[in-house]
Amino acid sequence: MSRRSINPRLRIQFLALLMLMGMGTLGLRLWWIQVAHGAEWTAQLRGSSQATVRIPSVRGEIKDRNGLTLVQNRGSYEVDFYLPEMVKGYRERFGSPPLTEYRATINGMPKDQKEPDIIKIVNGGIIPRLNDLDLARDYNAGKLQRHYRNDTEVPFSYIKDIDFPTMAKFSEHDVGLPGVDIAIKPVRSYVYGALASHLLGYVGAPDDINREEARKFTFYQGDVEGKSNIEKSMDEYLRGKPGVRYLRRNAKGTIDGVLREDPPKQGANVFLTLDTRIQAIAEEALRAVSRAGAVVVDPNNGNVLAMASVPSFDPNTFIPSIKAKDWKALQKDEGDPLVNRAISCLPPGSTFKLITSLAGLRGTKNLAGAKYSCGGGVSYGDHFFRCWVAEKHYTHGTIGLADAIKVSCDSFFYQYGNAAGIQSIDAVGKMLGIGEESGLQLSGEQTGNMPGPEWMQIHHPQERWSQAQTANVSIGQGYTLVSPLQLTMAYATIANGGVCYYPRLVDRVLNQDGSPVLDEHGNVAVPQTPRVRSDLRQEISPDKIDLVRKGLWLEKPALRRPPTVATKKTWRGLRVSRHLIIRSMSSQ
Amino acid sequence: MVQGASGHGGEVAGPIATRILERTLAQDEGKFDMQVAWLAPAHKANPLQLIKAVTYHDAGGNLGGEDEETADQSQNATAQMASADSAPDVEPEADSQGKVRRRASVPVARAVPVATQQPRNFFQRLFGVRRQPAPAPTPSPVRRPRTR
Repeated sequence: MSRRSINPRLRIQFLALLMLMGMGTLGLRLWWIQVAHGAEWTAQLRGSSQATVRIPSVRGEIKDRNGLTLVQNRGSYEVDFYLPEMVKGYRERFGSPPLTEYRATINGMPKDQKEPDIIKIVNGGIIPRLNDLDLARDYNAGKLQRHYRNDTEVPFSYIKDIDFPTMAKFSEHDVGLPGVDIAIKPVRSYVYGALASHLLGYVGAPDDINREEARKFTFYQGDVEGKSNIEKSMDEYLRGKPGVRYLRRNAKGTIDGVLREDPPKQGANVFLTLDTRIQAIAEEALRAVSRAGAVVVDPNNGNVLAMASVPSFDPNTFIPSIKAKDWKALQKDEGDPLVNRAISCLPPGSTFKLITSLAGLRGTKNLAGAKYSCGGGVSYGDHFFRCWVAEKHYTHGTIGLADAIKVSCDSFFYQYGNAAGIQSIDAVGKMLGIGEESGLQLSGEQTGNMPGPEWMQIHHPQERWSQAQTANVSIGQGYTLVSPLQLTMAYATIANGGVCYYPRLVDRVLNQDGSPVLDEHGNVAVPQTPRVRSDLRQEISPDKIDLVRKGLWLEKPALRRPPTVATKKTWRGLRVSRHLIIRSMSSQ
Repeated sequence: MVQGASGHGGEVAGPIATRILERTLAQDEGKFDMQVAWLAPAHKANPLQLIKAVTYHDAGGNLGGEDEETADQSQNATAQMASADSAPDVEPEADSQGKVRRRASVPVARAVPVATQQPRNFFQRLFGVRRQPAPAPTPSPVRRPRTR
């Protein structure tokens, strides 16, 4: 009876209360795990199943003085083999991996060592699967084994710079192989191909791997480094900062997502003093010959506006790495396309007479009014030094400095050079940077020779310096070697009235936000102010410098015959140079 | 500077310098516009061949005068060439162990979609209506040769 008296409504309420209590208990427990101890579980999860990938840094761009991009970056896909992962995968599936023996040197003693035969593992387990998908490529197995032995931390690049269809195939088919992955890397792109190739240089894989850093990551993707020229000399600024990608691993150890990512930072942009259009003009002009170099500078500050050399090469062939056959072809090329002829040194010939001219006007030497006669040549000892005019059966007669420059009289300069003295020629040469580095930090730059008695004693001790040697140097022959860059800077000094600047190729280095890059002391890393090498006006009065300039401006007349169109055309270059000098002086 | 010139400066280096200076100045004055484009490597078939004279087809003839200084052949200094001594990243060629034997491509049998019969809907089932099988496609008429 009493049972029947229980109100059904009460029963339902009791049941609801029980359900609510149960739900509350569950909710409380959920809060306890998720909220109160959430951080603890997250930390445990991360610690046990997190993989880190080093994201390679992105290099800064190289631009010309007008901001035109010459070198930029593009994305490149490559198939990488993570060799320790492969060995681990093999061990889990098939047991102990096959071993190979090699001879190692331990504490100076040769010793036989054993290591997993990575070639067998790859050829047996990886290549067949890739072959099924038509993705297998020939590779250098010896390099693979050496890579496993020496650079285990770094992935082995199996296929570099793969095309889109191949990349799509990889992505479409889950190859399902341990240690095989596709990585996207920023690689260099030289926008205008061979334009300014001798200045820009190229990049490549680093010679040494930072193992300490590599060990910090599960998957390591290294940076490239500058191998030559601007890419090399500005490497510390161009290099960016690498990023890190944190990957989540599931209980089976396979990666199933990205936790977070610290993106890489792009390096600073390097602005050159180069004017791409003038560079293009110079390169186009040089293509008329097979081997040549040319430099165009602004005489007011030493800024290099163009520096060209032929034959040239396309630096894109070095990206991401140059094929062995292409490298051999470049090295075997008779024209030496890798040589930068603008900084190579050759006998300057008569162009050196400018330095000799200045030597006679320096300090106490006052040969400004000196006149020497040309009878077709001059004798020193038992040797007769001919003037070039003797071959044409003429003589220059008795002439002064300006006229001697005008007609490029060898006889005059033999005598003038000896009167000035080799010490003075040597001093002026050094003031103008002959025999010294330009400071541009270009790969393989040659300093040339500024020969004198001391130089002779060091390099040719069996020979004795004589007047004949001085005569030879005076006309830019003998052991004298000068680069087009050095000679251009010397002529720019005359053009601007006597200030010899160091050539400048890097104008400024700016961060991605446009601010200048600072050094460790907080100063601008690459100042925009021109650097003065020497000031000729301290030793030679401006009117004497002007005398030399006057000689350069004079037009050469035809000898003993009326001027012809041919003569005018031949010397058109000299007249144009004169206008350029006048313009640069007026702008100064 | 031109390497391997047999002519004098006015015939070889002079025209090149002139062209560079003239075009640079013309560009500054807005009379010439140099188009910057991708450049193939500069390379001549016989790079050691001596050059007698340089002429540009669009710059008129460059006639050398007889009263010019000839190139000096009596230099006794060895040229110092600026070769980039850097070691690039060279990709070695495949060796015997790394050669992949490509399998002959076998044509993969592709699945052809087959038209499946639609299941009967509720009303068709309720009233017992059955679908008529699709009529077989009529064969194309066979052309018979005309007889005369």
